[in-house]
Amino acid sequence: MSEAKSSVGSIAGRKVRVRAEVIDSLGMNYLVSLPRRIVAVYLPLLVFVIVLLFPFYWMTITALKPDAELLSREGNPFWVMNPTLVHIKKLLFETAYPDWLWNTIVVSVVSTFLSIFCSVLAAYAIERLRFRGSRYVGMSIFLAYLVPPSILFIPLAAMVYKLDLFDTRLALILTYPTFLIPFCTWLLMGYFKSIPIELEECALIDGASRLQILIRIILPLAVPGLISAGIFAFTLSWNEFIYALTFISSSEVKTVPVGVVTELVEGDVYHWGSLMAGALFGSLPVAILYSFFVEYYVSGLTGAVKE
Amino acid sequence: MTLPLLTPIIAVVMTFSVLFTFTDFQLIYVLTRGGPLNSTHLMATLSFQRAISGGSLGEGAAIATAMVPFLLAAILISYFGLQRRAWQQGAADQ
Repeated sequence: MSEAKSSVGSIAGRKVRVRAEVIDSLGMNYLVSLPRRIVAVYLPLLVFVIVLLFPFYWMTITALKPDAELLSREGNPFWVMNPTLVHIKKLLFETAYPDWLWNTIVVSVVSTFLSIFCSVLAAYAIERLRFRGSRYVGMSIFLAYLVPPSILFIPLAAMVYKLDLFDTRLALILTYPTFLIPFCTWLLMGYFKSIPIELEECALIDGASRLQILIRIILPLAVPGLISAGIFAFTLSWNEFIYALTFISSSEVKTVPVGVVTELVEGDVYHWGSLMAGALFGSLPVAILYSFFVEYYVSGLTGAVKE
Repeated sequence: MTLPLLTPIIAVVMTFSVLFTFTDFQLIYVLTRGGPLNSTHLMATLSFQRAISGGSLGEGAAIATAMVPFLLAAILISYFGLQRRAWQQGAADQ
């Protein structure tokens, strides 16, 4: 098929041929013609996109439906007949939702920065200082990540009571790093490993101290890794549920996930409209943040600096 | 050929998903809170119910600690699955 196209002799034809050769060498020549590409690439992509975006669509239309339409069994459930802003108004002005959003932002940002700071130092020390037993420290940090919050919340609750931090934001800011630091350290260790050690040796010869090497050489090179660790940490603390549920009880200190679940569900009564609006406003910031940093995110996971 | 080479990764991924499913909390809590009649509890939700809602921290802690052997087993499986076999490095079969 590519032969017929290239016989035209135009530049476009040559392009197609070159591409066809590249694709051929990868054993993917079924991707050359348009109909095949539609079946092999675009249709599966379309399915993925629909599956991934459907929750957002569902949240949006449920937030906009009036109560009668939400509960009726007639009509098309996938469309809104009489959109209304009642639920959103209720969410924003009759509950403490703005407070919850603000708390979530403060807690996530502060604990993310705190844990990135600690894990940069820890990961660098474990990866490059090579003190005795550094391998085991690295491994035990990874094991610490495998201890789930659902085991840790009871001892942490006891400590939070003792330290008089119950029902404050500080309780969350201090407990989130228990799962953020191991995770970020583990991620950054892998990233630091991919930075060539020769760069550091050069800096050492030029008389830089370890701290200078870390700040001037390693950190600028590790920016994609830092960003991906930061996004991961931010998302994890944004979604965190069990600690926030355990350590917080008054409404104005709650975070979005806990507040939405505990205050918009009263016994058996689900305020679906406000619930969905709350979920939507709570998940959109993270989704948007992700879409800005997707490339860093991928490179941070696959290890990065190419020589 | 591809599948045997992937075994270390598959072991890790499987252990992770087993671990996080086993200790899952928020899904159960949001959907059913362990009800009706405690029939949908996982150990995490049960320990939360006993410790925080019920107020007996000790009992909840005991339930949470009872998860540890299972998690340990899962981690050990991943640890031994992680080891690269000799034949994956191009050495002869044993």
